[in-house]
Amino acid sequence: MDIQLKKGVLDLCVLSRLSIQDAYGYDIYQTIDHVLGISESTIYPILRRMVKEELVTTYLRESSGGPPRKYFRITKKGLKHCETLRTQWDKFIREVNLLI
Amino acid sequence: MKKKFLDTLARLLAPLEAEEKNEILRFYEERFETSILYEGKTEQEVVDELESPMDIARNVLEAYGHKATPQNVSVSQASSSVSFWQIAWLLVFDFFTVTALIPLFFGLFFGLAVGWVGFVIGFVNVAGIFAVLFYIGISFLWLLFLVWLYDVVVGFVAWLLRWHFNVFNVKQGHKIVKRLRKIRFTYVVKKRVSLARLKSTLTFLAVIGLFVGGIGSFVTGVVPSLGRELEEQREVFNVSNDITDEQTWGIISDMDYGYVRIVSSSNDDIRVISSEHEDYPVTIDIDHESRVITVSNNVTRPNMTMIFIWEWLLERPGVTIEVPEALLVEDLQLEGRNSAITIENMTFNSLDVTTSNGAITLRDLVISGSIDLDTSNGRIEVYRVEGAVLNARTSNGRIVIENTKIDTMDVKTSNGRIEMENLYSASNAGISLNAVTSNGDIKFNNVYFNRVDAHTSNGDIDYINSDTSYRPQRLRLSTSNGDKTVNVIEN
Repeated sequence: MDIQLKKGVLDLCVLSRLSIQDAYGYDIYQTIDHVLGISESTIYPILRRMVKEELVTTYLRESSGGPPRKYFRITKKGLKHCETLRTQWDKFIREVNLLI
Repeated sequence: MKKKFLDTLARLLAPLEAEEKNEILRFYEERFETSILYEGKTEQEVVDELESPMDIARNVLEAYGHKATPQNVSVSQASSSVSFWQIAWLLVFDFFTVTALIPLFFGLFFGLAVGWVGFVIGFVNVAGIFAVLFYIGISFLWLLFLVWLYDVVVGFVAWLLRWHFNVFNVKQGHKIVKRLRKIRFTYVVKKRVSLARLKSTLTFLAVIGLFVGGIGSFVTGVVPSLGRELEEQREVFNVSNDITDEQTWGIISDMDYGYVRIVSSSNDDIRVISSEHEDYPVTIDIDHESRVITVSNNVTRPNMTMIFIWEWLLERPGVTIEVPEALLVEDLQLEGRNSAITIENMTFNSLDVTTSNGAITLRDLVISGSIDLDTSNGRIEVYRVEGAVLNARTSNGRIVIENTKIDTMDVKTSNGRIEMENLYSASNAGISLNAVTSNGDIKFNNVYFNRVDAHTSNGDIDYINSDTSYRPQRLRLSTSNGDKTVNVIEN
């Protein structure tokens, strides 16, 4: 799949993943990579941006036998944004399907 | 591994703000920790799994809206903090480059290149297996040195450009630098294995040739003449009749090798004494009919080359001609290829000396007509000479003229200083003096002429006379690159 197309939906994928459960960076990457096959280095800047835009918050959580990891939790604003993106995405798919 | 990876990444992410950069780095740190702890991977395995720091940096920078790719990150980084001192240093160095380095590099390169072409053309004169080997060896190593010098010049230019591009923030600069570096010979050779192999093989053969040729020609050409004394050849004849009849004699020399000395004697004999190598005999020809003495010898080129290389081991040959003081000598035509020419204590009509490789020295002469001195490689010295016109030219050597009275002097050297001392006096000045050097100082001390022109393209001019009342009608002193110290004023 084209890299630009993937990039367009990454925000939606990340937010959807976080709306199910809190996760740390590598975990989020792995889930999405499993399906879409993206490069790791594109995920981290996105997460950082989302923190800045207050779509997600972070907290540190102790992990068994290792240093604490940074977990991401979706905010109300994030959930709302996720809904909007979701609606846009569905609409987009319908429209494109009419054309192809 | 992990540390190196993170350090590289940190360096490439330099354009980001510290906070942004640290966050990304923290992600990757965490990534290492997670994979090592929970997936049981080694640092190396994690590094292999990850993208290269370059790719990561590119993606990250792009995500943060930096157009820059990591390669010219360092460029824009350097340029963003251009300081006064950077520019000052650059300007100082530029000045140094323009005035010294560029002339030096390019002069050296083109001088050696032209010299090499000349050397290779000279190959037609070389005979004998050892001389040929020696010659080929030198030619090749010379060429190799030229190529190396070319690389140095190109590399230097590339380095200089990169510096400028960095300081003045030229975006596409690194492309030009890269292209320049690619036209270096070492780069071309590195790309082609066969060419590199050919180069080292030829170099090896050239060095072998140089050694075999050098030792061979030394053994066959120089060793036999090492212990040998110079042989003496003499022609002595009485000219007392010519002296009383006031008949004039002429002297012609055409020596390929060996000095020529012409001196006066107090008796009535002309004596021609040659001390010479057995292999390079001198022909002495005395023509009693037209009263001309001719001395000449002939040395072929390859031997010549060898002789020059080993000359310090051999005694120097040459011809001395003693002429009675009272005898009239009309014309001297002295021509030499590798010989110094000295003339002392004589009176004659005109003098014409040409030598391609040797000094010309005149002492205590009275010459009624013109004096022409021409050497392509050697100094010209004139002491206590009286005459009407002097033309002196040397391509490589200084010109020294002292205690001399020659009305009109025109001297020129392409490479060497010009020194003149005690020429005429304020009450009795010479007519005109013209001195030109392309490279060297000009020093005049007590030089009195009505017209003085002196020019040097590179050097100082000193003109100091003890009698300051003297003022030349015309005084033109110019130097393109040097100081003038003058106490003489134009009238």
